[in-house]
Amino acid sequence: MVFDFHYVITSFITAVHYIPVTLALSLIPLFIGIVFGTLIAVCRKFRIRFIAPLADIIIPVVKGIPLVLHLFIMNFLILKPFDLLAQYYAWADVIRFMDKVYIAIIAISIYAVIIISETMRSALMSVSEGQYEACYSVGLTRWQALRRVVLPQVFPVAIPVLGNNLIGLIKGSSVVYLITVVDVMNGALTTAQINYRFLEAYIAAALIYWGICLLTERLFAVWENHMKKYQLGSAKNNLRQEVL
Amino acid sequence: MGSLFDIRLVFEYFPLIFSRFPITLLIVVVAIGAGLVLGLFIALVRMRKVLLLNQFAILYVSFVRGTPIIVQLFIIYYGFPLLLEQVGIDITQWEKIYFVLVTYGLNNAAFMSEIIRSAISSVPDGQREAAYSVGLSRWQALRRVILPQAFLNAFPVFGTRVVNTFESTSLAFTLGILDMVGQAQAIGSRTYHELEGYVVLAIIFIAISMILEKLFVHAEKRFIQQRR
Repeated sequence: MVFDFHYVITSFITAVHYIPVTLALSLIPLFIGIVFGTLIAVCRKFRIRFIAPLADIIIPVVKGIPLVLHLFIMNFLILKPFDLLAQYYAWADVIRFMDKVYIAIIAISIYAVIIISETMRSALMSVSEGQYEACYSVGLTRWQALRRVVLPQVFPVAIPVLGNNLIGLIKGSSVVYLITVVDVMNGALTTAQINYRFLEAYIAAALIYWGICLLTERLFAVWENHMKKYQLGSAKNNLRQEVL
Repeated sequence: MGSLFDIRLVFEYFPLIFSRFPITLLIVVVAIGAGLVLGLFIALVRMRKVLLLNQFAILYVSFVRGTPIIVQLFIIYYGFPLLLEQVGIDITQWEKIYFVLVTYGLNNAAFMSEIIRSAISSVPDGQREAAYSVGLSRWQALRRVILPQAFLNAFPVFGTRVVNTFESTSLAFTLGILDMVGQAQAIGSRTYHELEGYVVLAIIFIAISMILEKLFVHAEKRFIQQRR
């Protein structure tokens, strides 16, 4: 079979319609990951009772599980009990109503929370202890110190890494085709199922992922530069580098 | 199908699944080895700004970093035979594992080239100038002065890359090879006890990646001690 660019375009056009699915599969987990990941990182930083030791054990362990396994285990854990219940009560339609996209979002979100909590933890470490002490000395509570002084310094540090995390999630979300969710990858393949042009379909999917990742990289670079404007410290550092 | 989870089956499946570990190890070793050699080449091409090759390298690294490894796997699987057919080499009879090795090697080359590039540029320019001033050639300066220093700078990132590569081998089964994940899938579809297989996989992946991380932290400490 000779490579035919015409089929790439056909696949590309079909797959473009599924970009929102891929974005939902990566942006929702990113958002959940930022919220809960920051929360976990803060709990570990302040050594909150019970939560911090628990997180110390769970996070390094769960971090070792690849995303595919998260997905398979979630798929099994959510679907199989429903399956048994459905058999028991003779609900034939339950499974049909369950959209697997939700299972995929749950699985990717768990993965995202773990990796982003590590990102936020290392970003939190970049803020020096003196910042907290200064806050406490002027009478701010822990929460006030965090919200008004520490977190505004943490996010500019975390943004480039979060951008990398998001790109990882976008690329990682392509595994959802294994549990038959139709995302960009599976969308491109639907045309290949008809005309057997698999190489062309995968190239079309690759082009879309490439485009999305490049765009994400650009946007995060712009955002990073925007955030840098408000950092006096880094501006001074740059100046010092220029002088030396 | 009776219960959802039977702990005895975990013990029963463990040896079956772990017996496929050498395949995973092979993928990781080949990927890291090929990645280092090709990555160094790409990094040098990009740092010396070789005409045409430099532009091609930029495009290549960007493509590999911007697309999922599953897509790369299948593009190599379907595209590589077509490409080699043009030069007159027939590889349609190749085992699938070779395509996996080629993909992971090429994939790692791109990531390694970025690691090597940033490591080399982290060595101060004065080092290179000093090496030239005592009469070392370009290659000698690289091998004797710059790479040993760059190596230490890059080591932690290199460790993370190895662990990431190990975790990404969990996707090699999509091509149909019987590695650990493929074996777990096969057992699952044969016995309808998928969860036990996944639990075994999770245990293996967690254990190996933790061991690798510990090893790299330990090795890094040793290297730093030796330099002092």
